[in-house]
Amino acid sequence: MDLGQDWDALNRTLYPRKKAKGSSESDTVFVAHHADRVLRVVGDRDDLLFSTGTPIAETLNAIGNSRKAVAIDIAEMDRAIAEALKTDGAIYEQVLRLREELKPSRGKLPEWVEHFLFAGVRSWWGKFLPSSFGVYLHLEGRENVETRSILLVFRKGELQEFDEPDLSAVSRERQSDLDEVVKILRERHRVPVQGFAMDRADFDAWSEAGNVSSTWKNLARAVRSHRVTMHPFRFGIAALVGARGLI
Amino acid sequence: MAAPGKTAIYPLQILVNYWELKPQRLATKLNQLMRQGITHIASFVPWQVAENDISHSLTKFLQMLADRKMSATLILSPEVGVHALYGGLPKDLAKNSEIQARNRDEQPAVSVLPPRIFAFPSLHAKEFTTRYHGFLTKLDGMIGDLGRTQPELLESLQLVLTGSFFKYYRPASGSQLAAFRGANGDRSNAAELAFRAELDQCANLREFMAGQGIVPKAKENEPFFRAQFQTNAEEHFRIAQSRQVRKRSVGVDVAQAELFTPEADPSLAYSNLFQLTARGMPDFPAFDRMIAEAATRQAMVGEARAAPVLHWTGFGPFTRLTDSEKQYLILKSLLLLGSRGGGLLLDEEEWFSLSNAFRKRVELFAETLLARELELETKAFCLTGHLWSDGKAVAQPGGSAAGGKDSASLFWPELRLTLDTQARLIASPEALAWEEESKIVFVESNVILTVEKWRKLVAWAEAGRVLVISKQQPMSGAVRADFEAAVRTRTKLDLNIGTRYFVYGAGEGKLVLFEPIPSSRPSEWKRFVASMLSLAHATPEMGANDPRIDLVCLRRGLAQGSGRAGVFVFNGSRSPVSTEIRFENEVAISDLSTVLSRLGGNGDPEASDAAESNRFELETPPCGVLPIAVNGLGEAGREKRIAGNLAGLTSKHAEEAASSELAGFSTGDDFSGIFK
Repeated sequence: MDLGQDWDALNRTLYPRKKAKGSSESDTVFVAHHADRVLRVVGDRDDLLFSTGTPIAETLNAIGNSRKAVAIDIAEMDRAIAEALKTDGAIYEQVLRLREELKPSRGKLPEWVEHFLFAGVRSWWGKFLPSSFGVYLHLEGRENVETRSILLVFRKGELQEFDEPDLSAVSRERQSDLDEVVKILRERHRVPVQGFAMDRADFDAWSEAGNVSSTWKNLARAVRSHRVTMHPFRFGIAALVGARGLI
Repeated sequence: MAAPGKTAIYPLQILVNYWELKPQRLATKLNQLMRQGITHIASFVPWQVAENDISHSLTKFLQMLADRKMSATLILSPEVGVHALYGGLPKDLAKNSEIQARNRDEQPAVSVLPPRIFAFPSLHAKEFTTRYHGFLTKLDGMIGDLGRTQPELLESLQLVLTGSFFKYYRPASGSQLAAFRGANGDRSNAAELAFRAELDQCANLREFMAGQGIVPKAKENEPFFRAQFQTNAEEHFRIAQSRQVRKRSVGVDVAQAELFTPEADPSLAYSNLFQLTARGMPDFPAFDRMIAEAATRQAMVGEARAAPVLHWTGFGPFTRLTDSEKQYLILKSLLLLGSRGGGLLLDEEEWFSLSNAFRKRVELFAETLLARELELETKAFCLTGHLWSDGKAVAQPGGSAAGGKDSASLFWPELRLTLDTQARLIASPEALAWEEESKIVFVESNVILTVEKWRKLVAWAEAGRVLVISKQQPMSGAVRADFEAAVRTRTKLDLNIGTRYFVYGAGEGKLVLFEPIPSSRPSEWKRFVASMLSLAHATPEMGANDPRIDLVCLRRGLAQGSGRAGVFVFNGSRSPVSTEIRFENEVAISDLSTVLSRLGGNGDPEASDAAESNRFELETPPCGVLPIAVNGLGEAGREKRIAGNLAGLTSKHAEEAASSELAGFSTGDDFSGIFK
């Protein structure tokens, strides 16, 4: 049975919003230029917003050492966009391609940290995982934060289907048993499914941190302390998570 | 929130895409929304979803709405910012490079926005339009069938058709200095074929064959005819799609809108790229500028206006802004576009992520705008050849900017500087009829005056208004003959203020003919434009002395000309700004929110706490919006306020005199009752 693709659910689950007041801040200033003239500056310094038309050297001097400057020629950006159009998949695949293609004329693109889930699936785990499988995330909310769940189906290492599963035909009693839910999803979508249940705040924090060793260490620790529960418990999967936490 | 009336767009639309949710989740979502007081939602109907709607999800959705006595707006046209790959277009069409649109650099026109960066198809391509009309016919049939079998499902349904992708056929590189800079539009093979066909048609029209008018097939005239072609093509697209959904779904409310999604705009492409690849900060100042671009451009469908609607997505860089920045953009979008019969489309999760107090404030303004208690006045129109193109004057040999064949925008940049959002850019003279209070139209040099256009412009001017055109205005042979006959017989004033111009009487109005001046004399051009605005009594009534501040003046009770307005002071910068706001005459100001909440009560809602002067110093916080009520704006308002003050003084003196001279008189007595 086809799960479909709910981009909104995927985006909100994997890249949760952080609420903030005031104006946006950044330690990087982005400068789009054409030859030696500045066309657009994006950064958190209002004084730089009127740099359009100025020589790029002048703008970079004005930025000084207070921020990291990344300058890219628009011809380079147009070329990178043309390459991204040829890439299959969706925005996540296109962003990886764009990062490979873009060559800043000054500075370096800031480190971009992939979502830890995608990084795990695309890594050496691929040798141990089946060609098609599902990951069911049940993220428990608290107080004003709602509970979310999402099923991600990967085929040949690519995320193909993703949505909150429809459990309306399942009794409340069975819905509260996550092992049962995973069994239903496995039968319905004909792929092995591994379920993870955890506090939504934890998952949001790890998603924000991205694919860094501390994320995996925290996740491994959480599995050991049952702060993250696996449904069903598969020693192999726990070992993969644990091993990643050690690396 | 109430449902919109027939063909009206509710100023605040909450987006809930029905097709993103399985039936149970959708039912739960609708119940949640009802509990929070939302009874009307909007949804895109992506082509890719509706073409394969095996589970009849749309019908089920309409049933759920009817069960809950909710209503919905369905946006049918292909758009950006839809939570589906390729903007919801069928994949085979979207990936077909043969039918891709091309911008003026002959490169694919691209949307840099999740869930996928993709190239727009050409809306001229036959393969695209045939299939699109097929989709609309299927939808029309489905809705028509529902109308017969379950008419109650359609009672609270509104269908919205938009201008689709036309406005995005621009290169990112050319859109950085100004969003619509240059001669834009689709240059794909399909578009070129259609353009040549239209050119052939024009060449065979009698009005272009006669006399000394513009020659359609002359190379140097191509930019003018191309602009006209783009405008005509967009209107034909709109009319054609409208016909497809009115065949069987009779009686269903169908509205026309112009939907702007700033996050998908080519001018944001490079900033979006940075935001995507480096988790950079969103380009808030560019979003801020796009709101005014959307608010000042008026698209038409025949004689009907397309309501301008601004869409902030639930997927793009908007979601990465701070709450303060989002609130600023939401308020500004709502006020500027809602006051022009349009509004704001906002993702449901984004809406509920904002504070309760803010949402209540926005809802109050939305209700006020729907009741037309606040309206954005148009002081001056600017008629251009193509709504999504602003040129810069290209100097011809001899240096004449206004006569340059490649020049497009002479007036528009100056009008935006002087009048800001009280200037309106239009591509059809039909738009003039909609705003009675505007007294002047400037005709850009890329507008070809055809017989029909010329007659409409003259008829409008003759009712007491001013029409400003160039002596070198492109016009058909028939119009040239008519025009020369008209100016030959009329008396004229020959004036020169650096720009030489002639003023002719036209009925109760005026026709102003100007001679183009070299582009090297911009100050003389500014003086000319200011002089024309003064001639039409269309000068700005207020100003701020800090360029970081935007002032938006919305008239209250426009029809009554009461001189009352809501002035919103916007500070989109990162620092607090202290600014002096100057009015052309003395006015009284007070807090607008207090005034609006007092409306409907007894007495003058603005009486007690108003300050009077023609200059006020105000401090606006960063990303801040200050709403102030102004009383006494403009000549009529000033006179009314003075008359009111005098009447009050006279009454007070009469009561004092009566108290001292008449024994037993009390000010509490019904004095006026004695004279009945």
